[in-house]
Amino acid sequence: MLYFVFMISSHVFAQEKLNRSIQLDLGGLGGYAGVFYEQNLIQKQHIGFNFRSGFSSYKLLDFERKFNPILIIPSTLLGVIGSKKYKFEYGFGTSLSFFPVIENNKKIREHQFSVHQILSFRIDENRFLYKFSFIVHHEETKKIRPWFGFTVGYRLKNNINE
Amino acid sequence: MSKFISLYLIVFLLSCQKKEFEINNLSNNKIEKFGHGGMGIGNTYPLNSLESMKACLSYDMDGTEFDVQMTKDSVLVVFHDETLDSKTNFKGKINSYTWDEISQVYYSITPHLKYKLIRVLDLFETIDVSKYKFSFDVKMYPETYSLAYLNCFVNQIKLMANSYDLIDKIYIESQDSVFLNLMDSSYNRFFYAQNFEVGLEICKKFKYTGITISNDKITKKQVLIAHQEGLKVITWNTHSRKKNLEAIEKNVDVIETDKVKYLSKIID
Repeated sequence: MLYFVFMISSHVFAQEKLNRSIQLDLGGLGGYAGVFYEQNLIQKQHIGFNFRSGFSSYKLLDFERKFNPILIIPSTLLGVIGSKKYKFEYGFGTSLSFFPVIENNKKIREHQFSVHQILSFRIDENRFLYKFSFIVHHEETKKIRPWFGFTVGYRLKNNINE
Repeated sequence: MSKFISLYLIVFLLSCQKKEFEINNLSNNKIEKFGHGGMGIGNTYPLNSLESMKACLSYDMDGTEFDVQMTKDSVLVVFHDETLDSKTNFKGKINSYTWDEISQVYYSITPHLKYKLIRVLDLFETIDVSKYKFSFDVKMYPETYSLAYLNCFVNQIKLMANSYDLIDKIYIESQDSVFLNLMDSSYNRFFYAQNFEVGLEICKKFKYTGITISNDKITKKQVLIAHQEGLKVITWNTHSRKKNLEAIEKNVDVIETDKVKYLSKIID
């Protein structure tokens, strides 16, 4: 669903100036750390909407110490409000994780969806951006798990069509 | 600056090497290295999960401890807590469900990931049992406590031990001396003590193999006393490097560690 919104919006706004960034999370949606791409979809004065997706891993080696990483792919739709430099972001989205388990004496990959909300304070400083985030993971078991994150990002030049 | 980096690297490398310890215990002067529920507390894999125990045994370990409970239909399941409430997608006690129901339970303590609860049978079917030892930490939280329940639990463990030829390779740990007495003396029986003096008296009285006790609740001198009485000592609550070193220096017989990688590296 989020990918669908992202694709449509990218197409609609392809002719406009769009902000994009590559971001590194410490903590954050992926757990310990992650790499993300963020794209501005709509910007009207002080209000905007962004799409953010990326990947992270808890572990690179599995329980047999073989390279078989846990892969987590969070995707988030963010509402952004604030000045050119200081902004608040609120978003919701899903995380899809792929992880190795043992089932019937065989190593297989399981996957799981979870839903999250994120509230961030963002500072844009020239080409760099910084975010301090509070995250709530809503798990399938209806348990809520709070988490925190710090993000450093680098804003890429605007869309190639400009 | 480069000198500091070199010094740090040397110290780091030395800290990972095996150290020389002079061990004096009842296990041929060798400390048996066991994982605590596999990789221990604080690992990405939940305590007692199959993945955690497989990961533990992939290191140079002698075996692993795990917590054993029994379902309503007498299946031995590996799980720690009295209820399923805080760590899984189910609520209530293991003993109030059948295995068919418990097979739907998974741990929900690690964000993004879910690992299933397993039977003891699942563990033994997955690994080469002949290579390892296992410590059954027997957790009894029945709906109704009775001699019939205890006998059923004992019989299930004996059945498992006989099926996999593990009688001399498993340690049975329990806080319940009635239960331990129902296991016969051909099994390695360890009384799970909250207090060393009380535990020592019970072990002597019932001629158990030894005592299981938190690393914080036993001194080096008390380990020596236990050994003089012919009793082995298992310690747990070794969740830091310092606690592992303390346990080694006490000359215990078995360490059930939460620092599997570290313990596997520092002693043979």
